[in-house]
Amino acid sequence: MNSVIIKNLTKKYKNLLAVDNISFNIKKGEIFGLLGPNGAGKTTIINCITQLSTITNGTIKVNSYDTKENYLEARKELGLSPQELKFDHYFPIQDILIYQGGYFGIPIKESKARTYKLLKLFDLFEKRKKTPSQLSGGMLRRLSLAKSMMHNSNILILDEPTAALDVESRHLLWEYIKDLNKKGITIILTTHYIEEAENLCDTICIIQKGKIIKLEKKEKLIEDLSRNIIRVLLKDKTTLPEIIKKYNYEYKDNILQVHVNKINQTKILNTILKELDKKVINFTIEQDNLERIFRRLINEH
Amino acid sequence: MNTKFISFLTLFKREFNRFFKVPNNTILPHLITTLFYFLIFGIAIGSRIKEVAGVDYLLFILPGLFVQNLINGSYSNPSGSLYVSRNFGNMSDILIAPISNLSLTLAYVIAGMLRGIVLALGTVLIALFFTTFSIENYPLLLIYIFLISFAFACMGVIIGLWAKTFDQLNIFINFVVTPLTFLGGVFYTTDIVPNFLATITKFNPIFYMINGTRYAMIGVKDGNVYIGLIFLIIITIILFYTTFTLIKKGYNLRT
Repeated sequence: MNSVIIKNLTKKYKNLLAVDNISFNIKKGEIFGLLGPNGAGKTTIINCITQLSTITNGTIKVNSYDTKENYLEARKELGLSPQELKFDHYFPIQDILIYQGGYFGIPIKESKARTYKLLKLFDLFEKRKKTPSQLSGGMLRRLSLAKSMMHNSNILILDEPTAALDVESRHLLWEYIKDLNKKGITIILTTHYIEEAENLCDTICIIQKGKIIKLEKKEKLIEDLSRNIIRVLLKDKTTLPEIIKKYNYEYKDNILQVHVNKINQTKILNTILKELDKKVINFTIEQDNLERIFRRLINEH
Repeated sequence: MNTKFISFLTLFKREFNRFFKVPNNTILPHLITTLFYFLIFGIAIGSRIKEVAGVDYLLFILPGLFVQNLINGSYSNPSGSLYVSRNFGNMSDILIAPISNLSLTLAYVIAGMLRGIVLALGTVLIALFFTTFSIENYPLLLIYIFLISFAFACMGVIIGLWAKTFDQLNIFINFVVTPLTFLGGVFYTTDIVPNFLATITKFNPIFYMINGTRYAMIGVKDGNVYIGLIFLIIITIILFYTTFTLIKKGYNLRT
């Protein structure tokens, strides 16, 4: 079952085509990663889903509610922690959260109870009477997350959620995102940290210039596109057999490096070991990662 | 309670509470200025004028100052709040929430009206230190208060959506409302000023708002009250329709 269905989405800003006729689905209960360089169109897609931007063409359905025809119902399904940390600076943070609950139709008593629960959860309870301008960047990020969770939405959109967080806070947040996901909440995540996407996401969608250049399950994406390196240390300088020269290789200072993908890795390794046999001192396999795959894909497009 | 009503009520409360959070900016300056108007025009200069249109001068200027504060408050609340929220604050919190376009419009407009009414009532309270009076026509006064505050709160929403700079935000109040209020008969009747000024005044929409309010408050009029009322109703409908349409289209709200 799909939480979000995007069909032929196009978004134009005057002369700029920010999103170019893209279609994809986000499955219920998954962590969906939107990756791409700056200006790729990630935030525009999120703004279209949350209705912060109008749609030039196409449709978006959120838990079967069309964001144009059933805009109020669609909004109830979504929680957003935006990239920019902008808050209502007139009020202390506890009031900001209570109001946020109210905007989503939660009665005041319930909204207060959720506020205190979330303030404690995000370690902000002691600061509840402070205004946003009195909080640090990390605290503001946590406040933004608490705000996005006030109405217990089924889908949580986190736009660069760990930006400005220190390493410890980032890892804590990752754990928290995983916990939320285990409770059945669908999470849409944009990030610049590929490590974050690799750690958290089930599905990865790579966007560039408003188009999807890759959309796969994370494991499959890594498996299909990874370029591992078999590094073989040889005893002395040897003329390589013709069969090895057919591979994508580099050979320098008795070190042979062969670039392989995961699928043919074992076969090639066996061939190398068989052909070079006793000339081999040792070998290592350097695993590719999502970050290198991401960079290659972006450069290729 | 209906969730849609809770959404509306929350936004309305937020808007209403916001101006009480910053009284030094939203309430006190207007009331202090009003106090000086009463001191200078009512007592210092007014003591030499004695009566205008058959009433004490201080009492004569009261409805004009009442309308001036009603307009200022009603206009400033939504315009300032929307401008700040759009550019520096929490607009996205509101835009992603399931608040209907009508609720959004009404929350800003009604909160603006209430700020205007608070300032207008403050004007009356200050006036009571200097004079006494009884209201001549309560229903008509309430109708005028409703229409004036509603119209200018709508205007506040429109300018709050349109303005891209603080400078633009203040253009309407500084270059339209303030001059029109002063030329709208706050301090004079059309029969005691030169002809050209009387003519300008009669073409000024705010003159009819002040005239009608003055008639309802103290029973003195300087023009046709009911033509002014019809004109005010038409303006209010046009402004509300424009405001609602802009909110619905997400003008300068949704990219």
